[in-house]
Amino acid sequence: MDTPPEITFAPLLFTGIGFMLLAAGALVLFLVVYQKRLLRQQLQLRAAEAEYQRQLLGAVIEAQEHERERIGRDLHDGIGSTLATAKLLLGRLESTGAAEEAANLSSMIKEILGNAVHDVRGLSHSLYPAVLDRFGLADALQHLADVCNETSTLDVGLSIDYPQPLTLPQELALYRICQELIHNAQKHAQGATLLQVRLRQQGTRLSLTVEDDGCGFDAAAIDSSKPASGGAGLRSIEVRVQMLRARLSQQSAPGQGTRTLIEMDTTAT
Amino acid sequence: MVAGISGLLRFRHLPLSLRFLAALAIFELPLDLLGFGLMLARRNNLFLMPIYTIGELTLLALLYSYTLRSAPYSRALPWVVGIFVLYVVADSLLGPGVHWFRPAQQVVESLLVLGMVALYFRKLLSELRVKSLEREPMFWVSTGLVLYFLGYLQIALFSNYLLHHYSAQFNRHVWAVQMLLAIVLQSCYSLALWIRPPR
Repeated sequence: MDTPPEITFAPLLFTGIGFMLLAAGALVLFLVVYQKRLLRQQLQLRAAEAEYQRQLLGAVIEAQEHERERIGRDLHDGIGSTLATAKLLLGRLESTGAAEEAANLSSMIKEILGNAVHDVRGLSHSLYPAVLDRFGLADALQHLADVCNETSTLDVGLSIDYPQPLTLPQELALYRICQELIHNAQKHAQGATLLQVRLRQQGTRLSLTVEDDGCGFDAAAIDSSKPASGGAGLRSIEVRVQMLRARLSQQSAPGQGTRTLIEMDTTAT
Repeated sequence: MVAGISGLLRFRHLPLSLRFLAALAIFELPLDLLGFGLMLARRNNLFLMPIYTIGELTLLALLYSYTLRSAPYSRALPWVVGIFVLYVVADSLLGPGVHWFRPAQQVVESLLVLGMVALYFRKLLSELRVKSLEREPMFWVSTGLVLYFLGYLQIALFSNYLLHHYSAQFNRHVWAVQMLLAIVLQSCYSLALWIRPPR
């Protein structure tokens, strides 16, 4: 006897419905689990970003404090003591009767005041590079290289191809980055004889390269030991690179110097 | 019935999007009661189906429009709903009669609703604004809809075949399953109307 069609169709239909319901349940379960996982990842990402921002803020504050400390020291040890000496000599000038000694004292006071003026100019320039404001980034970098060549044993070579000037805040950020990188090289690149600074602009792409032939360092070892840190100077560079929406890359190896490259799209900022 | 009463009681306290859900529950309540009454009186209640289908799809489309807040969806909404309404009206009037079951209408409605639910689930995963799904009313509405319409799709596809070729007892079993799915859906509606959405 044949099986009635109803008996064969019923399991098929109910299995179909059951399968669809299972599929619906599985879909909802997947959605809940996957959404929770995505949320957890998003929270972790936000926490990491917040931590990074906190570190950057810390670096900015630390850099400000260092700068204030340096200015205070320069004022106290340099200009302060120079002016104190000038005041002392002026006191002696008032009390002396001999014309020849007075002339000597007067000459010394003029020389000391001249040095004080020079120190004030130097300090003022380090605080805000007036030449950048007046003549632009190319001249400011040239001035910075000249000053470094005068005051340091490390020769600074400069190569500039910069036909379309950026805005003053962008130029100031690039100048500060360059200043910090030169300062880092002077401080850490032991055995370096030449520091090459290159500023290139091609269309909307701009690159700033600072390269030394010093002792270099093991970048991988430093990354693994201090994953999110670095010196205050490097972090202040990162802040400025972020502000410019640029990319920072650094290549170094023991004995092979260090090359830092900042690349930016000038239309992106 | 619980969903309809919940909708009536909570209507003023609900956000605009959920007011469409409350309106749907309130809209379905008299139709369900009338359909049940006719069934008890052994009278054909299938003429209620097109009204039910049109009202349900329109209110669900509006509910998802306010939930998704998507410009393409809002632009497509009047066209999709308009064409669907025209199709249901034409199919009901031009066919053999309003007292016949029209599975094609149910299948099209099911597919449209499942499409809206899919858009909502995609939005949930892409935007990640909802922190706690169990406290999100639209998640429960969508869960109820996906369970109901995926199950009901099979019944709708074979409904006329079942009605004409199989025993009344088998049909009762099948429609009992449909009732079970409807209870799950209405429970989800009730839950969505009662839980306080997180701010």
